[in-house]
Amino acid sequence: MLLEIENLSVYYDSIQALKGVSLQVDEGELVTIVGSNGAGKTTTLLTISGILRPRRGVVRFRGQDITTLAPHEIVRRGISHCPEGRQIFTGLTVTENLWMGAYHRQDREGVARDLAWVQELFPVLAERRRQLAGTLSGGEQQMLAIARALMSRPKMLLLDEPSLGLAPMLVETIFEVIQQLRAQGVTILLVEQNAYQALRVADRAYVLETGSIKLSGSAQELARNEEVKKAYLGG
Amino acid sequence: MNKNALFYLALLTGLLFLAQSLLNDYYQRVLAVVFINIILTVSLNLTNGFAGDFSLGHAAFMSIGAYLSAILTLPPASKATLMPQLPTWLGQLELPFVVATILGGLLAASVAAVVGVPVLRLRGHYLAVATLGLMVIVRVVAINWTTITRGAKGINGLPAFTNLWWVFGWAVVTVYVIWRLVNSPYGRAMMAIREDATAAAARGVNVTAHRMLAFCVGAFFAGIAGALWGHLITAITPHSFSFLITFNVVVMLVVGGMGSISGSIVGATVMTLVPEFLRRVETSLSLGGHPLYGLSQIIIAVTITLVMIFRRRGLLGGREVQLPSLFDRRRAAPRARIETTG
Amino acid sequence: MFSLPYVAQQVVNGLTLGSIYALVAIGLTIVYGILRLINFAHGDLLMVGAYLALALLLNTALPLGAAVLLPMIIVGGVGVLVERLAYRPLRGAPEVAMLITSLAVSSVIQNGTIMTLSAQPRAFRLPQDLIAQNRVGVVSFSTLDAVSVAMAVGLMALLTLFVTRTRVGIAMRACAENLRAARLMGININQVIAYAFAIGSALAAAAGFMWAGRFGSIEPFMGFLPGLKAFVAAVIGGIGSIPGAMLGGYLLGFSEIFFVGFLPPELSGYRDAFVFTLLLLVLLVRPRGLLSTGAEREG
Ligand SMILES: Nc1ncnc2c1ncn2[C@@H]1O[C@H](COP(=O)(O)OP(=O)(O)OP(=O)(O)O)[C@@H](O)[C@H]1O
Ligand SMILES: [Mg+2]
Repeated sequence: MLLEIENLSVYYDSIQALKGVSLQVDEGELVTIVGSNGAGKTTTLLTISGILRPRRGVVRFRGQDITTLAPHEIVRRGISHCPEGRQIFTGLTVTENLWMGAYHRQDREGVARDLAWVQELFPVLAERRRQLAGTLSGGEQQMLAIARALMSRPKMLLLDEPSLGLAPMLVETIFEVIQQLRAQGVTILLVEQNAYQALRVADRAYVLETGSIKLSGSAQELARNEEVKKAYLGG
Repeated sequence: MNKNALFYLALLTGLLFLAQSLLNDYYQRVLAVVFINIILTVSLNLTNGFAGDFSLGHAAFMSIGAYLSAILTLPPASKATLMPQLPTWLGQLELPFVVATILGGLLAASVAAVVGVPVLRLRGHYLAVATLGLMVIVRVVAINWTTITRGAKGINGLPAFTNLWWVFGWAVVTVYVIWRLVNSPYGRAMMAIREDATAAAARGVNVTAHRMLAFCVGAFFAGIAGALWGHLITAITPHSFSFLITFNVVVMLVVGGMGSISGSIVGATVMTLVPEFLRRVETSLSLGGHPLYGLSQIIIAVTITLVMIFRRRGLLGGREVQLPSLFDRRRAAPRARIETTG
Repeated sequence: MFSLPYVAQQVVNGLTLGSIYALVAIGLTIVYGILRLINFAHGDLLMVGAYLALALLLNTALPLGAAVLLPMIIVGGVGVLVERLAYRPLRGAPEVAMLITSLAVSSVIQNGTIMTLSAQPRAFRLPQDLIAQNRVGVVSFSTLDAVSVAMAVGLMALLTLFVTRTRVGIAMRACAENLRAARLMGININQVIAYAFAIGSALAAAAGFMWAGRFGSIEPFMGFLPGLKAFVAAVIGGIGSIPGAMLGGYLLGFSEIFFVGFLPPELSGYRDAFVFTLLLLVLLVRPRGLLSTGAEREG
């Protein structure tokens, strides 16, 4: 197992957002978490990244307990998080944003290579490299956010609703890129409300409801599940 | 007021009689300062603890109250020599202490109302700096408006009207008024604003008006405290009401716990007596012949830092302490309890 | 009316005073940008810098440059230490907790100075050639003025290079904009915050030298007013923004000098009141300052 989460309980003050969530992601897999608003998807990812501290439970990455590590140490171990709502640095240029993604890396050549790689993945970022990130369109900002997360050369990528608020054409592009990344061997944990697309590309899926895992299984299985169809696939 | 409160009031009054007959001048003065600090801390608590606006303007409002009341209580004869350029009507005015004190408080509150218009558009840190700025403005005016304030020389020879009874009386009034206010719909609105101003506004609370109310009432009592202080020390200068005073009141507030009236009373008492004791020790202390002035302030400051790190809600944890209820248990108990998450 | 030389003279004065405000304001703004903390102890670091400079001038034969540079380094270290001991334990605490702590830190620094060195003001005398007046055309200025302005401009240029060209500098801007995203990117925010305190405090020490040289005497409370005014400058420029702090510093320096220089002399005693009235006015018409950033996103 690359990532193992065991019995995670997370609170915001006295409100319990996660109630004993367990899940696993294997090397090379694309796993998705689907669930409606407020189910706790973002909370799960933020806990993996070390931004939130669980009250109970363990997060293990490559067999090591990372539950109490600082976020920057977690990034260093190979988990990269592309946050909900993009959260790019609008006052920095596109290239500066990308450098921030590679903050902890010392290998200049490697960084340069990866810069070329993400620019190949998203050619528009090469065109806009000197532009302030705040001046990009919404779709471009999402691409920048993903590219920035890739700059740390992660073993595992956490994607939080990458298709949120994008035009259908762009949603397609984003999902194409996700599949491409997976083909290149990046392990991905994808959080989506767009369950249709997510289940289409994923290997396995978890359904999260009000802080607990309700269902899990292969993506195909879940896509055929009646409950899932009703709740998340619009019938 | 219920019987219980009246009982404790009577008890305190009795103790005060005892104090007056038993304590020497020095201790009576320290006790008077304790009551003035209670007025300051409880009133600062209204703005900073209940309404959630971190004001540092208390020294400014004290200064205003002290100056106005001084000018109003000085006998015309002294005014003629001290401040010959005073407008005649003001030069001849001599008001009773209580009236002068109230007018001092009212002027402080009016200044708060004017300054509040720009300042209360801000929150947190901005407000803190803007109110400190007010302190600088008041000081500069006091230094430069020489016809009224005698400039940097200050005004001395104020009648020594302040005694234990005045400060005790005003402390009781302050605590009572603010306690009533906090437990009224106005106070509940203030606390709702403190927790989440947007949500409060969405529920139809007039956010600006309530913050303004807290700010002005706080300023009023700071003005009162300034007047009392002036007539205790009997001399005031533009530098009497410095940042140090504001800081020390903040310390009392924080040690007692923001959002708790009883906490403010405890905080003001403890943080007046302890430093007073330390100061006496400090003057007799030395390190290889080198005097250690400033040590008491350092201890206070370190204490407050530790409180912030380890016990952020203050000694009483933001709750109210209940004195044992002697009469009518059921009705008295829940009323004064104020829970906060500050 | 005012003669040209007089006006030119006021411009020079505004430039020197503005340089000092700008340097102090930068330190406040970078720390505020990341931590949302108004560091009330910032002005006191200016004071510490001035005392250290005086100690070096009186007790050592070091060149003048060292009397500026060494305090900058030491005070930079003090800033980092203060952050480590007082502010870091409060990470994630409400803003008010940090604000109160910074008031306490300010009190510790001031009273520590009183305890070790007494509250008496001390003369801050610079070598004669530094305070000698030079005449260029119609304006006269001391060498110290020229050095101060040049130094301030140089330091600000260096800082600009730092925040646009270096990894940590860019990360500093990133942190100021979005601390959580910065953490998610693997930026060690404690390290960045330490840099911010080191840089800001060092700049305050440099400003302390200039301030002390300008007024000729130093005392333990000398940092209060420039610290508070520098905050006004930072707010005018838009707090959180480094160019804003520079702009605000010079604007404030010029306004203050012009207030004293061009209005009736009876008013000049009110200059400090003027500065804070200006603050209230700016906040009234443009609460986020001139070059506002996202720094006030929480409102
Ligand atoms: N900062 C916070 N403070 C208090 N409660 C929060 C906070 N953030 C989230 N919550 C609560 O925790 C629960 C889970 O939120 P979370 O953001 O993880 O949901 P989500 O599944 O990501 O939803 P969405 O699809 O809307 O992004 C929700 O009930 C939410 O209201
Ligand atoms: Mg979410």
